[in-house]
Amino acid sequence: MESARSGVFTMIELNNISKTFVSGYFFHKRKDAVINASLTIQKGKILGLVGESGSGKSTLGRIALRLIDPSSGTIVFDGTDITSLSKSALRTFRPRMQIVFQDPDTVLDPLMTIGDSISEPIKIWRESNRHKTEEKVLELLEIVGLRADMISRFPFELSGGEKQRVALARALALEPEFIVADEVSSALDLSVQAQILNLLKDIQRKRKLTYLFISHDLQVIQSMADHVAVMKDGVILEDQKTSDLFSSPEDPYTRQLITESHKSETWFGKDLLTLNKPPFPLQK
Amino acid sequence: MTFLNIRNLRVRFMSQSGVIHALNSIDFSIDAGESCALVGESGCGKSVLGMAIIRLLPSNAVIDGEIRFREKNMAEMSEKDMQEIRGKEIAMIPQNSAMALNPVMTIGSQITETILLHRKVSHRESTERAIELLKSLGFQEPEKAMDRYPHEFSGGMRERVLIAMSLACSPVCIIADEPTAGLDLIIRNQTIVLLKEQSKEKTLLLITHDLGCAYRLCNWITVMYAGEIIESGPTKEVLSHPFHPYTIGLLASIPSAGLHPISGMSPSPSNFPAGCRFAERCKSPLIRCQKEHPSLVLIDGVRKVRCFYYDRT
Repeated sequence: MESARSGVFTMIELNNISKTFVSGYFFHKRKDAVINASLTIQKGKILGLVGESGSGKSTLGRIALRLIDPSSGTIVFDGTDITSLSKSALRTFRPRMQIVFQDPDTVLDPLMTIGDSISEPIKIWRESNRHKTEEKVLELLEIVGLRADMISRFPFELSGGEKQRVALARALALEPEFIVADEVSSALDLSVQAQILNLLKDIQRKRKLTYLFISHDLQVIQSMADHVAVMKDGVILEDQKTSDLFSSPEDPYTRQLITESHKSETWFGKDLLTLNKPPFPLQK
Repeated sequence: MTFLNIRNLRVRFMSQSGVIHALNSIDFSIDAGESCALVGESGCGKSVLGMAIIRLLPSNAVIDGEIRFREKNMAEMSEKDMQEIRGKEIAMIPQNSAMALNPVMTIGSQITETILLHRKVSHRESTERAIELLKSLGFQEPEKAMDRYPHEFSGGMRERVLIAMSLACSPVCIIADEPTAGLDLIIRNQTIVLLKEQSKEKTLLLITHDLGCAYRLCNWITVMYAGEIIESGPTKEVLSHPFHPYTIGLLASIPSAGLHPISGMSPSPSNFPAGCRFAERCKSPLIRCQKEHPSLVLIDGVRKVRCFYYDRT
């Protein structure tokens, strides 16, 4: 983390972020969602943020994009402190940062075609020429592996995996540098999850994107992230390189998470490794 | 004696856009006291099969075939007879605890409702039974929990409430539909342990796409794809030496197995191909896979697979 503080290579820096939600009559209910959390993500890296539901990981992800304002602390995006920028000043940063949400069903407007959904940000930010917009949408559909005829379809005609691809295409429309991926694969089936995660990785590599990858699934985090931060009850317990975290977890909670995740995967021994050479055609 | 025996079950949904073939020639049985997992991706028909067994499908569903429960054909039973079976003999833990519970009824009244319906007991006795159940499922203060509403509980606790409801009349068979979906790792593992304890000496049919959960809870596994059973057998054997290319693909797409996805997507249930339903996504399909439909063949005595690579006829 120290080396990251040099500035030029840092995509986003969260310093001592806290967030307290206040609700109820006379604001008597207080909930500390994030407590004094600091994170740094270097350009072109994937930081995995893991924790159970209610641990504040999504809140922190949203704070990073200033979709929620922190109660205290600072957010530095590519060298600029964006913590107290006004809405209009923040506009110049908006296209550079995007978010992909967990539930693909609720993310897309049911009354808009896929083409309209993807082109909406382009129309607002970039291009007014209809023809060029469409060209761009087709290019995006190809990147996320969807057929061109999807452009005139509606969300209800698509499967969960396809909808998640559309959400991703929409997030990529403005060629952002930083993407918060909030539980993008947890609503998907195993094989579809693998497709989406591979796609995310490919795009990240090709475009040198920076991800804040939020998930409660340790296995997914392990296969995606360069760095992992573990969060519990609003506090970041540890932040390590992925390989270090899995080989020598420092915090007892992390250790518990790792053992729990191993528990269910006991059959994952040598047996499964032979899968790459499928036994089945040889069986004949 | 087979406990639950399904023969040639077909379920179709009549919708405005045509007929949806949800399940096709399902042959499936569980012995008393066994546990069987139904796995497969969403839309493969695993939940429809669970719902078909206790006849809770919507009215536009057409069911053909036999569902024999203790030698009685449930597919032809009257609604009144079914009510006697549901909850009392076969209980269901429905999918999605947030939607399954009634938001305007307390947890207590939802559990006692089932007991009062099936047993001739007083209100007080049913309350006692409910408290006892909640206690056995790890509720710290079951008396207080009885007066709470579903929204006051976390996902894991709501799942426990659903388990308590299903156990209320001590059924002999439990059908659990995605009991671990949407739960965190630790809570998920706790739920699995609880289900394992509670389903002892009961017949368990677990519907899930969580292979780890299937592995830990069930000794038999049935893999479904596009409305058909494509592979079945003892869980350990199937997961360590899968036969069907789909099962192999499914296991290879687990993150720790290298995240190798199966390309493409499953065919639309209103328009299945004539040949093997997996042929389009199969890595090495044979010529006959496109034209003929494979049948489920028995190999190794206990394992069944629907694939021409193993069908020598």
